[in-house]
Amino acid sequence: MSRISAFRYFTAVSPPPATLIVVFGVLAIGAGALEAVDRGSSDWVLASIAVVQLFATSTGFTRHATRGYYDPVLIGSGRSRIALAHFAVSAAPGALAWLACGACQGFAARSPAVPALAPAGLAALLLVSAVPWAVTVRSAPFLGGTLWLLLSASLFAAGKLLPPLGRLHVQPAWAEDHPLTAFAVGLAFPAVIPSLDWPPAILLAFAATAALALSGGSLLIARADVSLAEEGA
Amino acid sequence: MKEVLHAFGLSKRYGAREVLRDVEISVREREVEGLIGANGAGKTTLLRILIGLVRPSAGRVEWHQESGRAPADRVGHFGGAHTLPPRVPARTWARLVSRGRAFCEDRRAVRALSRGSRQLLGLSAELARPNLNAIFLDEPWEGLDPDGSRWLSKILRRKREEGCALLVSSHRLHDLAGLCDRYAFLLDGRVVARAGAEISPNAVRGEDLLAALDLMRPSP
Repeated sequence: MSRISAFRYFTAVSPPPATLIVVFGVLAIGAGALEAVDRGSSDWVLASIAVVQLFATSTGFTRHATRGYYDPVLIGSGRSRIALAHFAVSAAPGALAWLACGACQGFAARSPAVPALAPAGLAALLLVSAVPWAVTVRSAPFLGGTLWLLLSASLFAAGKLLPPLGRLHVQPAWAEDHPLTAFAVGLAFPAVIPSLDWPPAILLAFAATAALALSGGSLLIARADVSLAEEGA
Repeated sequence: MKEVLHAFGLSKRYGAREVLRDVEISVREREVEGLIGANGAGKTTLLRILIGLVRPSAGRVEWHQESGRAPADRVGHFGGAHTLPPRVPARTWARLVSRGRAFCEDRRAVRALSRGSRQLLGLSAELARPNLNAIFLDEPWEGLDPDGSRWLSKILRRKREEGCALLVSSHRLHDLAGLCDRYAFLLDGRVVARAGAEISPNAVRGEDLLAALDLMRPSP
């Protein structure tokens, strides 16, 4: 077989930034240390991984493609396969750190039912990986993560986020009575998703949002006109 | 000779700017088609449309394959030294693109190499790939020294003898002279003339191309 593996190609040509990989490594090790000292104390590490993942997956596709860097893997290949491989390479370090954190939590709790590996945790991981990746397909790197963080900060500053977050913490059933607000709060600040109880319908909505973002990003790549930057200028 | 691909009525617009107009071109087995034109004539756009990287605004490209599109494992393409990712080590690039066939022990990043070395790296990795039946090269002589140029011409002839179809672009006719079986002359996005292995300067229109043809004349 002489076709290049798209995953191997993107790993070699546009790997996630080394600094982010180091940060993920430190966070995963930190989760292990925290769980060893005090069981169940590493939830904030998950939130940190989620925030870093917003930037790690905001790698951008078109900027490199229009310089010709992806030519060997784009010729004759199904673009959906290329898009998924690009997403997988972008999301892999954060996902591995998340799973490592989950393994530490599970080992400490002697149970797989821990926040990182629960449906809410996995939905959060999917969300913070897919949405920034899709937003950044045709824009500058880190734009997806930056915009998301700015949105969260603006809502916090405007006092729109803390009251519903407080209600979700104190009274989990509140989400069932106000599903749209609860869903919007989760989207605005996905780092808290693993530590809260969510009705299955809202978890499904988070997963569907991530799937929609992934499909949208793949479609953008599939329809991209890979002219060299100087041609279309 | 058997056609590998045939393209009809290709046009491409970027906004109001038309870079290709009604281009027809074919690439055949055991032949080298030379694409000649000044900078900005539309050579790169045409090459990228043929291999499916750019969508034409009009017209179509027919690959004579079951899939109807460029087969990933049989088509080679090199767009020039500037299309190599700058941070990848030369050794990694050579192995990745050539599927382990090209030998390069240089561990420096591509950006640390000279322009000529980058060009040679890209060409040697692409041309070392096994089982190619069509090769598309955009300005492949750019940045090569005389030894590199001779190596390239020699390997392209060998690829033709092996049955490959080749499409090679250049803005300098002397790069292609003696190598190509057919020539297409691009001027402002249109094919303004075609010629066989024996080029007749009278068949060419346009000042730029006539100037390019002048380069073929031996020095007094």
